[in-house]
Amino acid sequence: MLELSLFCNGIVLGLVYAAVALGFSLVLGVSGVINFSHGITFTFGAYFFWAMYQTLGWIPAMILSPMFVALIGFFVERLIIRRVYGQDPLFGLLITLGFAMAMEELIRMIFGPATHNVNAPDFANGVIIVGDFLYSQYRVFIAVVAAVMVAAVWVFTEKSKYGSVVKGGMFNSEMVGALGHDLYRMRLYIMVLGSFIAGLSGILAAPIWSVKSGMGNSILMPSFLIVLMGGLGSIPGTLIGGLLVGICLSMGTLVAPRFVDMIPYILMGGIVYFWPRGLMGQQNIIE
Amino acid sequence: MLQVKDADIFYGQAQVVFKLNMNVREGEFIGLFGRNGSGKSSTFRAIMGLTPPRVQGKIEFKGRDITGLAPHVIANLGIGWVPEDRKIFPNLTIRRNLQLGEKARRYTPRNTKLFGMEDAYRFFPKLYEMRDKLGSQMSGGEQQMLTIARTMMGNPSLLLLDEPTEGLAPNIARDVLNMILDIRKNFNVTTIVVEQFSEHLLKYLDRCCVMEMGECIFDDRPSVLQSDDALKLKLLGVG
Repeated sequence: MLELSLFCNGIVLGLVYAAVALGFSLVLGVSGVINFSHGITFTFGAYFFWAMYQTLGWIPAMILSPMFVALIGFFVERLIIRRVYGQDPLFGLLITLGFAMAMEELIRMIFGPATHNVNAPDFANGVIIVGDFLYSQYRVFIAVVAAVMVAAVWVFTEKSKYGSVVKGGMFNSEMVGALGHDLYRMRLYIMVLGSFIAGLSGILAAPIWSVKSGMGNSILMPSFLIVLMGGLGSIPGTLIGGLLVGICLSMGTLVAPRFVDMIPYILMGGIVYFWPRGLMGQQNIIE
Repeated sequence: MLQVKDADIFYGQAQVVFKLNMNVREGEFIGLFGRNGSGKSSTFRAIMGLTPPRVQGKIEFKGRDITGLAPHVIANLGIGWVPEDRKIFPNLTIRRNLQLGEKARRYTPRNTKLFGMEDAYRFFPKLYEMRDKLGSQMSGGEQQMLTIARTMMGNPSLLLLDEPTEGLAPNIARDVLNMILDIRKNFNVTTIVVEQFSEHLLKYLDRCCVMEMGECIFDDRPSVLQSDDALKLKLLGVG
């Protein structure tokens, strides 16, 4: 039974990773920026939510705080990321990492170094019983919301007209511009979308991981590695990568609890060795 | 319609086009010839506002100065570019590649016959057959047809074709040329085509320009070029 519940935890975790990694991957795809401030938007989501949910209630806070995070994404793109378009990807990585560190410190100054707890909502605060298997309702709720986010992004990029522009922009942004589509606006929209997803994921994780200023770091590296594994811009690849990392991390605690943190790196190394463009990637990250 | 005035074009410090002057009138079909590296493609990139290269001088389109504008602004004013290396989107289906060529309604010209998806499929029946295949599954000729159709989807009033028949088998190259002529017959689109010199193409052109080492050395009717054996030899010669 322990194995089964760890496996389910892995799937839940994997779906959250996949959702966050999708935002990372879209931003990287359309703007060529390795956005290391993606983790801090996850943290912001959790903090905004923590500050709001007791007065506003679970669902209103869950809708409202990702919007604030999206607004932060808007300003980050306008004021910071826009400056590094077309430059060496290292610049984007450094400037966003610097911003993320500054914000982490700012959060610690404002809210203090202590961790905060968020309670699961009343509607998902019990257990699901199947035979003699017990599972947390809240984790099922996370899985559903994360899966809806992944599906929504998939529908957007694969089915909508603007999705063609986004996918085209990942391949050849110059041509997309020459066909009359505003690249800067698209990059801004995608940054806002990515921040919204990361913010909402931060909220989902808050009751399980507890809210602390460094919580973004524990999602940033796995999502970066998942993008490398799944292949840039590929939603199925990112989903597979996310689930793989989530399940291996969760099951890994059974086998080698002390070395669990190494698992994503080993997985990434192994996959990239055989598929240099990731499992389903059509191009290299910086090609 | 399009006026290029004393344009100097640079890649970094290196100048590739010197004091180029061009005056394109509405409805014209112009051939731009010249050996490799004579600055033809750079001229197109400069007109489209793509960087690199960097332009000094003035480029006017429909009386408006477009020098230094962003490519999407220039495209939305009505210039369509069919790049030399085609730049199709291999990760999208053919239908979605064509969709990408569509512009927002406010940029679509009014009171003119519009080129839409049906026209793309009518002029290029092959694209209809393959509409749900990925761009990466196409042959060179099909890719070329897709690029032309994709650019036409934006209903440009000026079409810049950069070597549309390069690398294609002779019979396919002829098909592509016929399709271009067919489109010109049905839609009012001013066209500049960069091509390898061929006497066959001359028949259809209203005017020819010849570039050499970044300078325009000839600008006149095709018949004049036809009778200029020395210049023809220069264009055809390899050495």
